[in-house]
Amino acid sequence: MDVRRSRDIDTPIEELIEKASKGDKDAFGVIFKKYYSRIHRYLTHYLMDHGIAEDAAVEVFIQAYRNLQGYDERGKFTGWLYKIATNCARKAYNSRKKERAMLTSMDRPVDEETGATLHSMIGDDSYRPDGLVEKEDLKEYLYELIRRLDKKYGEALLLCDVQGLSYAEASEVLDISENTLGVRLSRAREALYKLIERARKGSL
Amino acid sequence: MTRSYSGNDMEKRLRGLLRDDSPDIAPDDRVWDKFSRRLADVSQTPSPDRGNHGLYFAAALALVIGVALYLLVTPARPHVSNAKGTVKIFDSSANRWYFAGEGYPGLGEGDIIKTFDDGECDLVSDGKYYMRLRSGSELLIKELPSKIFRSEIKYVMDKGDVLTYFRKVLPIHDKMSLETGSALVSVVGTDFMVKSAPSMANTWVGVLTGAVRIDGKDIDGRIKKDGGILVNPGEKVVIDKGKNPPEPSRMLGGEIADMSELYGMGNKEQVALIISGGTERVKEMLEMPIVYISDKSSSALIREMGKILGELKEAFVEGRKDKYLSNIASFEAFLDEHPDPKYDVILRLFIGAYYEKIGEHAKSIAVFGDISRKHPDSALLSLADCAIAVIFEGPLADPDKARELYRKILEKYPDSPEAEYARLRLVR
Repeated sequence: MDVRRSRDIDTPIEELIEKASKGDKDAFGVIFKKYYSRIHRYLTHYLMDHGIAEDAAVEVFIQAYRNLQGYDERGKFTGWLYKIATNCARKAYNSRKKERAMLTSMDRPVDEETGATLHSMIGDDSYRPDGLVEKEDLKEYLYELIRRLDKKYGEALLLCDVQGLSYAEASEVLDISENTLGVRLSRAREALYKLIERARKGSL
Repeated sequence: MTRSYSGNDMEKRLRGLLRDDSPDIAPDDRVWDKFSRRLADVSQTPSPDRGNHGLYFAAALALVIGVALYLLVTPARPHVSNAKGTVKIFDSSANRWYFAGEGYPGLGEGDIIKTFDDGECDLVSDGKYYMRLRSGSELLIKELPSKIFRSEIKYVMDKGDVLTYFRKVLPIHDKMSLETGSALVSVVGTDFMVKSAPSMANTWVGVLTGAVRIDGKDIDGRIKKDGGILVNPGEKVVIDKGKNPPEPSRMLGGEIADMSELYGMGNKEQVALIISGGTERVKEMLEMPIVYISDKSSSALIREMGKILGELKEAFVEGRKDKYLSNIASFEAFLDEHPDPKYDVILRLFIGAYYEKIGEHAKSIAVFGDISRKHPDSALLSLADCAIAVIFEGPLADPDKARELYRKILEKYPDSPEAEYARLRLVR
C-alpha cells in the first residue's frame, strides 16, 4: 500500500497505534502523515532552521516507532509525541548553541511598502488576518525573538501560545506542574515584551 | 502610523500573532523518502514479556540494590585533597614522610597526615566521609574498613582541629571514631568538629547535625567505660583529660559560624538555614537569614531551588518589590510542588522572613503559621511561632497579642531558645 495516498488518515489514532505497535509500518506511515506537519512546525519554531527541523522531525517519528510498544498513555499520544520532539529539539539546539543567533531589529521595516516596523504592527489595527503575507513575516520575527529567551521560557511559549497545547498537555510534555508552567508562561511573556521594547529602542 | 494601545491590547495581539494556525500539510515526497528509508531499517524496541515482567524487574532490582549496598557500605580508602601550605604524609609501610602531592602510594592503616602552621587539607573517602584538617593538626589512621564485615573507621588525633562530615547509611554497620588525648568521639551521625588542645589536656567537640557520642579517658589514656554522653545538634562540650565529659551546652553563634564550612564539604544535597543556636536566633532569622544550597548537588530539584533563590536575592538587592514578590510566590509554588520534609520547614522559615523583610506582615505570619499546620512535629516550630509573636510585638504594635503568643511558646516549648526569648520579652 502506498501510504502517501492512503485514505486511512481518518482511522482513529488508537487503532493506528495498536497496529503500528505490532509492527505494521503502513499504519505508522499514516500516523506520520497525520502528525508530521505540526511536529515539523514546532521544531522549526524551536530551531529556526527548516532543514534541521525536517531531519529532527523524521527522527522524532523514528524514535516514536522504536518505542511504540512502551507507549501506554491512551489518549495522550499528541503529548507523548511532543515530548519526544522536545527532547530531540533540545539535543539539536544544544549541538548548535555555539552558533550565533540571528540578530534582528524591530526597527527594520517588515512591510517594505509602508515601512512598518514589527513594533508598530503589533499595535496596529490595520494588520488584520487577511494581511497574511505581512503577518507571516511578523510571526517569523517573533519566533526569532522567542528563540532568544531562556530555553525553558521559550519552550513554554512555543507549546502553549504557538502550538496551542493546553496547560495540562504542555505541563506533561515539560514534566512540570501546571502551576509552574503558569509561572513560566507569565515570565516568558514578560521577557518577550522586554525584548520587543529593546528592539524598538534599537538596543537589540 | 503611530497609534496608542494598552498593555492588554498588546498582549492579546501578541498572543494572536504567535499562534501557529497554519493548516496541516502532508509531508512532501522528499520527506517521505527520508522517512521511509529510516523506517525500513528500524525495528521496535521489544516490550518485555508480560509474563516474566515481574521476575525481570525483581532480578534487576535485587542486582541494583546489591551493588548499591556494596558501594555504600564499603567506603573507598581515603586520600588527601585540597592540600594548601605545608602538609606531610607519613607512609608507615615505607617508613618515610612525603609532601602531599608528591605522589605517595595511597593511605593505609598506620599512616599519619600532618598539617603544619601554614597548612590545611581534606581527607576524603568519596561519598562516605570528609575530614578537614586545619593547620597544626596531626591525624593517625588507626583502622580502615577493608571488608564488608569489618567496617569501623578509627582515627587518632593528638592535636589539632578537624571538621568531619560522615554520611551514615546503615546505622549498625557504619562506625567511625576519632580518639584524642582526652576523649573518644564516636559518630552517631553526620557533621561535627573536634578540637584537640596541643597539650592533649582537653578536647572541644561541637555538633552541627546528627549526633556524636563522647567517652572520656582516664589519666593513663584508657577509655572510660562509664560516663559517656551524647552530644546533639547545636551543642558543644569540652572534655578534660582524666574526667568524664560534662553535660553539653549550647554552641554560640560564632562557634557555629566557625563550623559553617562543613556545609560545603562533601557531595551532599545540602540545604541549610544558617542561624545560631542562641536565644536571639528568632531575631537573627527575621533579620536576614542565609540559606546555604550546595552547588555540588546532583539533584536537578536542588539546583532549580538554588536558581530561584538566586533570583529572589537578586530582586531584593535591586530593590524591586514586584519582582521580589513574584519570585517569592514562585518559590512557594515550587515548594508546594516538590515538598521535601528534609528542607520544607527551613525554606518556609526563609520565605516568612523574606516577606517580613519587605513589610508584608500578613503574608509572613501566614507562612509561619502554615509551618505548624504542615509540620506539627518539627523541631523548629518554636522558631516559627516566636517569629509571629515578634511581628505582633514590633511591626504590628499589638503587645497584648504578642504577650499571649509568648505565653503559649513558654507552655509549648519550655526548653527551646525561644522560650528563653519569650521569658525575657514577658518580663519587659
